[in-house]
Amino acid sequence: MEKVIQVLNQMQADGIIERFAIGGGIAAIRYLEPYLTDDIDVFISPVVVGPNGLMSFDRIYAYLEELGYNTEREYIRIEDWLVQFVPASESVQEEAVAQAERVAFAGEYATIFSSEHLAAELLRSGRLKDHTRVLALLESGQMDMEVFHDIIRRHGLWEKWKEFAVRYDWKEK
Amino acid sequence: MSSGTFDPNKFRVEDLFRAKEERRKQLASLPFQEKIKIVERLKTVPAAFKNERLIFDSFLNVCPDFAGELIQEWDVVEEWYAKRAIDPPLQPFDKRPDIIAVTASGRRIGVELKSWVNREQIADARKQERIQENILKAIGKQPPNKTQHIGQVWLSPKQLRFDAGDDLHFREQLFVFVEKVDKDCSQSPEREQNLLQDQDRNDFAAFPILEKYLDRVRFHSKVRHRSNNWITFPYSASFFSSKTMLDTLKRALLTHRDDEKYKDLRKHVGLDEVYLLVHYDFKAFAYNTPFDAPNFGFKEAAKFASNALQGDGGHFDRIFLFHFLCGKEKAYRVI
Repeated sequence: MEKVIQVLNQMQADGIIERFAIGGGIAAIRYLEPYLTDDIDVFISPVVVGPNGLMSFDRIYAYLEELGYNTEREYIRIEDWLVQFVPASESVQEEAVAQAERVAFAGEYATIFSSEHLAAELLRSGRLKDHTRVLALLESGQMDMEVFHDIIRRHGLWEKWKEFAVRYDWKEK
Repeated sequence: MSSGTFDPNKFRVEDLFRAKEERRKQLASLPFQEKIKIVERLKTVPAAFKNERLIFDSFLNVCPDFAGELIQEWDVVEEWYAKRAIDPPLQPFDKRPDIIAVTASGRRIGVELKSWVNREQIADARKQERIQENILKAIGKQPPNKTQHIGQVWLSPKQLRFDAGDDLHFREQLFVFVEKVDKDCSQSPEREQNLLQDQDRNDFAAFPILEKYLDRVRFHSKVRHRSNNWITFPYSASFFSSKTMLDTLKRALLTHRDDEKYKDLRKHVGLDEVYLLVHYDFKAFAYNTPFDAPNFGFKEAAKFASNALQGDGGHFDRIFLFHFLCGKEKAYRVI
């Protein structure tokens, strides 16, 4: 993954992306036990909108293609990893990128969602596998629950949290 | 539970969960870069290992104490080393045996998985499947059956690779041939009495492409068959004897038991015991002739296996026979 981190940092240095942070499965691995995953979700902010009003990835794709990295379905393959650029269009994602943590990685720094923002984003996303990860994060004891509560309140996720707690019988200690 | 004085009789399921939880926490506490290295190693684990994981997981459900006590942790061989970030032994022992497990008392058990399949039969069946697929592709979407007398058409193909260039002609000739047979039926005296019989036809003289690819075509009367996919293939009904599969099992057991590549496995991999798990799975069920017969089921097959081995496990300490079909899982120790 070293190459991916190098490329992302270089893209930022070259002004192709302003801010980015890794979320999804790879971010979860920072806090949990490692498991098999093929892709890296890179959240980017601010969201660039093209002339047609749609989100634009033109600059990103052109830059990476010049480096020899090509698209594969919705991903770009960088060495052995499939990288997906996700526009941080939800307020919780935007904040997760802005407040991401810098983690030393192979002589570089990778910016990764905090455990609280990651759990909030997974709660928002709401798929079964996302909920499984939220549970694992909660059980890992690596989350500051006050910070988490504050995030989900501010981003309108409190109702989802209540539903989640009932569904999974989650009681805070 | 004290790790100093271990008593397997006092080992409980909760202890297993606790041990697993501890291992999970230990892995979670590794530095991020180290965890990513583990993920990168896991990415190199081929699909075959995923299948082995399924088989062993299912076996463990049926036979949790196969080693004489509960299993504390286990993994497919490559994952065993990758997940624990430990260096594997030198080749070829880095990929053997398929499963490494540690029992509650700390014994390291290696399990080699082998399938009970007749590969020749599978190769034949797959060849047949490919031929049928190509013919169906040539026919394309089947039009509604507008014949007067034909309910279903069964094609018996020759053992010949289908040339894609023949697609169009095959389709054309087949439908003309079907029409011809339908007309013949109209002129048959039996028609008046509604007594049309199923019939085999191979008079392909005017249909060279059908002649090239088909042995014969069976036409079933409309009285009995009404189906949307009315052009199809007969079910395979070749003669079989359960002896074929039992011979295959005996051959597999004796070959693996005495295979020299397992001779020094214990020493090179650092195992206390090595087991062989022979499984009967969906591939065998789908493509091989059945092993069972009236009053002869999987239990009897296990007895047969045990007799074949005559108490000699060769390089293996224990040998199991496992029926790995969803909902019908069963396992027997045969040594």
